[in-house]
Amino acid sequence: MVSVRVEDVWMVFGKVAALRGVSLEVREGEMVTLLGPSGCGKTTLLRVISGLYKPTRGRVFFDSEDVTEKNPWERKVGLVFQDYALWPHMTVFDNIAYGLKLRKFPASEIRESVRRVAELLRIEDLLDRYPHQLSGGQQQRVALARAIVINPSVLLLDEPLSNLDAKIRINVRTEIRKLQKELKITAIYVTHDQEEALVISDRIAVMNQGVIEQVGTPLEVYYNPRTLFVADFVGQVNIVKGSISNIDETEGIAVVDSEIGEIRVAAQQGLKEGEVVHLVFRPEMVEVSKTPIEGSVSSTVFEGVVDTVQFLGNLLRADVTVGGKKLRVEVHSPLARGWLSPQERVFIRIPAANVRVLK
Amino acid sequence: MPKTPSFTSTVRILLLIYVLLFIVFPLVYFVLVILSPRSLSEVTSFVYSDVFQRSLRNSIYVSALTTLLTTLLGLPYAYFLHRYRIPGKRIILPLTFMPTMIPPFVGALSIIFLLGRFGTLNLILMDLKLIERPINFIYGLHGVILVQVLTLFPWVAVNVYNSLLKLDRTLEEAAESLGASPLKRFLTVTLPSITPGLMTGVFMVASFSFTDYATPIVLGQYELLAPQAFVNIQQAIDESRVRAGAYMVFFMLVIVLLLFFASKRYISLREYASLRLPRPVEEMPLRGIGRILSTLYVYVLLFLGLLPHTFIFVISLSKAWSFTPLPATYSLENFQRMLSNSTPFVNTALYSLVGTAVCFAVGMFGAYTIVRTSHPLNEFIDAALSMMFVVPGIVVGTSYLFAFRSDVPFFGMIGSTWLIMPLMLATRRISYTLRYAYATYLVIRKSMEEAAYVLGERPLGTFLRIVVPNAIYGILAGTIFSFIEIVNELTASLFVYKPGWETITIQMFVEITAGRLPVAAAYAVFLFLTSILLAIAAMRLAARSK
Repeated sequence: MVSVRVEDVWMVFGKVAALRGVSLEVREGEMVTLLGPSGCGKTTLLRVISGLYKPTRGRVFFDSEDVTEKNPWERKVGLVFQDYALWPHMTVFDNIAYGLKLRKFPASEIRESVRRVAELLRIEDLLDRYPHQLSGGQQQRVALARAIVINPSVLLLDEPLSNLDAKIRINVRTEIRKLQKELKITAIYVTHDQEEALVISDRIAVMNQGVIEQVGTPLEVYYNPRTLFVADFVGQVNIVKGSISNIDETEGIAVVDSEIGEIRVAAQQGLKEGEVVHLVFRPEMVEVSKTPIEGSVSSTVFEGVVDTVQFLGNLLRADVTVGGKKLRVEVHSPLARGWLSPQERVFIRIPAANVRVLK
Repeated sequence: MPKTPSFTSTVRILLLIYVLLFIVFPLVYFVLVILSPRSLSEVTSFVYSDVFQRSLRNSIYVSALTTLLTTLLGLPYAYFLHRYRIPGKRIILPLTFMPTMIPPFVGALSIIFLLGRFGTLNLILMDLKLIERPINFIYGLHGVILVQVLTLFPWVAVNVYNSLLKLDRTLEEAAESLGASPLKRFLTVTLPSITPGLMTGVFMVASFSFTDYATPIVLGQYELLAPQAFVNIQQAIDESRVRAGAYMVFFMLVIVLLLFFASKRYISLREYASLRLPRPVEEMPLRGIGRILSTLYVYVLLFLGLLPHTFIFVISLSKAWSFTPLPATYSLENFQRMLSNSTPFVNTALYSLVGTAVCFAVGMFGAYTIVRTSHPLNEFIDAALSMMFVVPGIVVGTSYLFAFRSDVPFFGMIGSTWLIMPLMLATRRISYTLRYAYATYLVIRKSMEEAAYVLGERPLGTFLRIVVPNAIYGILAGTIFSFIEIVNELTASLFVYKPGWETITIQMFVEITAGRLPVAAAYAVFLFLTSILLAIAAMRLAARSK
């Protein structure tokens, strides 16, 4: 097990820079997710770490060892591919045993290691089968077994769940997380699915256009997004533009003159009056009421009209038109709290503490 | 940059050497000989000579008419066969393309017995007192056209059929739903989508017909460019005759290349690979008169196309056959005579095995290198190898004859050994293996190799243990098709061979020109049966690779 450090890595394909000066540190035994939309460079970064790509510039370290110039077959990484990449001409056993055979382990030891990993992943009954006889979920487990059986210094997973059904996906991701913790293996996980990233990671690196915009725990990334992109990409969010009209140091409140009216936010360091800002708040932070409610020093109340309503089972998601702009709100347990219907007049309260101010 | 497997650099260098030695050098050498100042003045006076002008006129006439007729026959054939439920379709498809594997001049040999002055048809007609004197069906340019149309229409049919397989039925249904009449639909939707196959077939027929010398010679027609060139160069009576022959070959090359570049944007050489694997598709049931007519059309044409090849069997078994519609006595004498001379068999086996080994090696390592790595030289190598599919046999033969002549340093040495035969054969027929290998490697996902790399396997080991086991059936299928084409090659070998190097096809040609037609037929039967067996094996392998 090692720590992985990427320093100022650039990857240029022809005229396109897929990575533009990326630095990242993954600690020993930690699971870090590279999260971002397609084309953001997350898979490229993973392939640079695996050695399949040699970066145009920058260094890659495993612990203190510089592995930038090393070929993939010299790095001892485990890599799980999006399409599993199982070898169709080999049985499950031979697929898993391949890396051990290459390392010239004795046959008895190979059998024992394969059996152990197969048990861990509950595929011990499939060892004699060929990949085409397996379901997608089973193939995924075999791919994972093949990657971890060599006891890799770092486990790399490239969108490993994207070819699975929604239900199986949730099961497998829980298992991957459990396995990673049990084996205390350093892991880097690539996904475009923000929910997957929140569930599975110790830390998330949100990537956009070849750079990392923010690295942090799931909580930090969700509640304290550092950029508009991160706020928008992770979870649902309302973004309102405005300028700071007044800062009240004693109350710790700033008033923002926004496109939907005055909004009170928690005063943060470095804010200046007159400054143009973006206000970011999550739908679930907004309180919705059918009867009039009062604003206060620490919250703002708007009156609006329900535009559209989506019923998602456990919650109701609605767009409410306020001052010509649509704000997204969520009502959990809608049966208890009151159903919303289009054209209905509602009142919404936005607590100042839950509004994040981004420049 | 992305890493590329390291052993491929070595493969690329070897491939480049091969391409330079056996494709670029002979062709460039030949063109340089023609374009030397002394030749150039000769060429101009030659162009105005009566014999050249007449031959050129005849050649253009023959190939234009052959192309037109094969298209008119082959296009509906493919369309009916693809679209309608023709009984026995599964067997019709292979029966259509099997005859294309053996050289077309075999058809001429058969036609002489069928339609000759005292051939089967004339004798029957005279016996029935329908005619008094024999009709001249075949001696003349029309005979060449007849034989070529009968033996070449499957090329158009199979290529068009192949295109039709890729045509999305919903496109046609969309046109129908918008109210297009069947004719309008065919012209605006169907025809444009089958243009690549059609143009490939048309080009292959036009190019072959224009440069074919064996068929005219068997039928005694010498007033065409190709037989003129062949006779001038092969008989080598004096240097000026050889040069005149070479100019004709050069002109043929220029015209074929012009033809190729004119039709290039429609032709897809890459798609030619799958050509030999027609598979049946969903068809429409047809009722009434339309069904009878389309079935009849397919069956009649198939019968005519197979007639020469079937009749070869009758000829090969005949003994002292003359003035009767069918042989009076049958015997195996012709086969005994054929077997008494082992040289052609030994040579064919030797050359085809060596040649096929070259094809296999290039297909296995070369195709992988070209598909999997990015290097500026890849395109050049690929283009050169693919080009050999376009260059006519007579051009390859003449170029090799000139470029590997004993007075050329180094190359003369290669040319003086029999090795030149398999090397030439492999180079000329390698495109079959290559296309199959490309197609096979392209479907092997790159991640399967990368999975091996990260587990600690090096590129060569990955190639041998991961890639090859998954690609081998496809490559073998392509290699067998190359093998069949090598065994059946005549037009270039006939220029390059020296006494003692006769192959089966060369010996067959020699027997025909010596007037021993039934013995030649025995050779043809042997070739035909061998090729069919090999083709079945190849199709099995190709099916398995999927």
